[in-house]
Amino acid sequence: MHRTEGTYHNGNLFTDGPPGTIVEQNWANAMQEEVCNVIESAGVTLKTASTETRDQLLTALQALFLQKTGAIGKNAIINGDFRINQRSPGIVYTSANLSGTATPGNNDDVYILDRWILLSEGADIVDVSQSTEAPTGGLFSCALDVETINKKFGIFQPIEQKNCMHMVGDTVSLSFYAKVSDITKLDNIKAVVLSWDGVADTITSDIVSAWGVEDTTPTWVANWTVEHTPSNLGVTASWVKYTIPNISIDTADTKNIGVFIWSDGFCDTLGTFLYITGIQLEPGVVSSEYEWRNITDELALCQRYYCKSYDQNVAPGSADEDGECFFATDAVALADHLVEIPAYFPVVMVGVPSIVLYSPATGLSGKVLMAAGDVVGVASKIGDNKISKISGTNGAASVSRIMAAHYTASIEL
Amino acid sequence: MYKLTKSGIQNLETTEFIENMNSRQGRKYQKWLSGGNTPEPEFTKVELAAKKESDIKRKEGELIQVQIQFDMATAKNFSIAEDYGKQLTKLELELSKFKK
Repeated sequence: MHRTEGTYHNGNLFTDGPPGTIVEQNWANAMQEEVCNVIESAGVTLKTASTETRDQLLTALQALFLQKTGAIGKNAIINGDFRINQRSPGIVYTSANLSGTATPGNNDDVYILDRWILLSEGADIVDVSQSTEAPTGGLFSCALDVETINKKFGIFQPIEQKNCMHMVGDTVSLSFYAKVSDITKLDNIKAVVLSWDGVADTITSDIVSAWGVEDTTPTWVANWTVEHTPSNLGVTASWVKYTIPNISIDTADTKNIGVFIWSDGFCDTLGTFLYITGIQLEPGVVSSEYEWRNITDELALCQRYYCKSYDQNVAPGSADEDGECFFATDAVALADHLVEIPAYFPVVMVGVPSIVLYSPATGLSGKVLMAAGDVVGVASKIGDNKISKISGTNGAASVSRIMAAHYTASIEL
Repeated sequence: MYKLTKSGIQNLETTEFIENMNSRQGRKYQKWLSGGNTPEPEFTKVELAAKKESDIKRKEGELIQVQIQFDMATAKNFSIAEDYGKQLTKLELELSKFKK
């Protein structure tokens, strides 16, 4: 669509025969502006007469209202607004738990808030938390708090092949909201969409080969290819939506797609924050409004990769009985005994996950609670929908048989 | 850092049970393995001895349990007593194997 040089005007077009319907200039201008408004409100720049393609209204409608055929919800990013934080609800990912098992530390290449990986130029570069700083209408953001000066850091999400193949060979658009606590300290935020052409879903999650010097885009490990040239987005101290439209996913044999948002500049002051939220990767040449999923759906999407038996607001490794896997019987022979119980996952996971067991009594990992107290727990015959056996041997004679255990199950890409 | 288990491996640092070698954790283990490392056996000698003792105690407990049920069924002349009798024989055999 393009606008005429000026406005329409009356002419003497109907001089012979009965007069035709008069096309008023106001009507023609109204028609033109109605269409142009739809196109422009979708973020599409109008063409000129020489570049006219006559498909911009369709593009705009797709961006505003429609989802492309085969799309699984328009946003391929899971937990783009950071409402889900199963690993560490209410707890900051810090160096204090670098070697911890229940709450991950702020190491390089570790999963933090659900589906997001922290990538940084070493360990303890930034603390990470689920922050209530959010744009109007939002709830949370991912807060990255500088802990080591003059190092680069960012967050990365790889997308499972089954959830991104509809975008391969096509065009996508990335959008997100961001702000910094001090624009003089964090002054170069970049974002990029990458394609993985290695074995599907067997990605290298630490995508950075070399971080490079300040303000120079890092180099990437083998099999990851950037699909556009990232540039400084000029993030400010206020919430702004940043868009990178019209990205062609054209790397041959792409199996997975990933999104990486990072600070490419150095920050020389501890306690400086970068906040990110509302991340969306969608098919199409323009970015549309953030897809606000129902929380039940969002949680289920996350649980495909990580789930736990603890309540959502309880951190794994807590001494907490609610939701525990439990079995008990009484008045049986006084004896040492073995107890084995199953535990079902809330959703079918992407593959067979790794399991950590916890005692609900003490929160200790590797333990389950039995009649005599905490004993070593073993998880075996693990499937993508359940742990068939959580086993423990009570090494002291008892007339009751008890087993209580919590678990976390993880099969992240 | 890792030990073998009945159905996979366990990361001794995180206590994580890993059965899926294609997973992120499984690949990490394989990388560790290719670095010339060897996982610990499922049971050390001390653990094996403790396990044997525990297995015997557990089997003895099961034996007592079945014996009680056998005695009750026999006293009341229930036909199920025959099944309990078979279970007793089986358990006694298993127990004798454990004690060897």
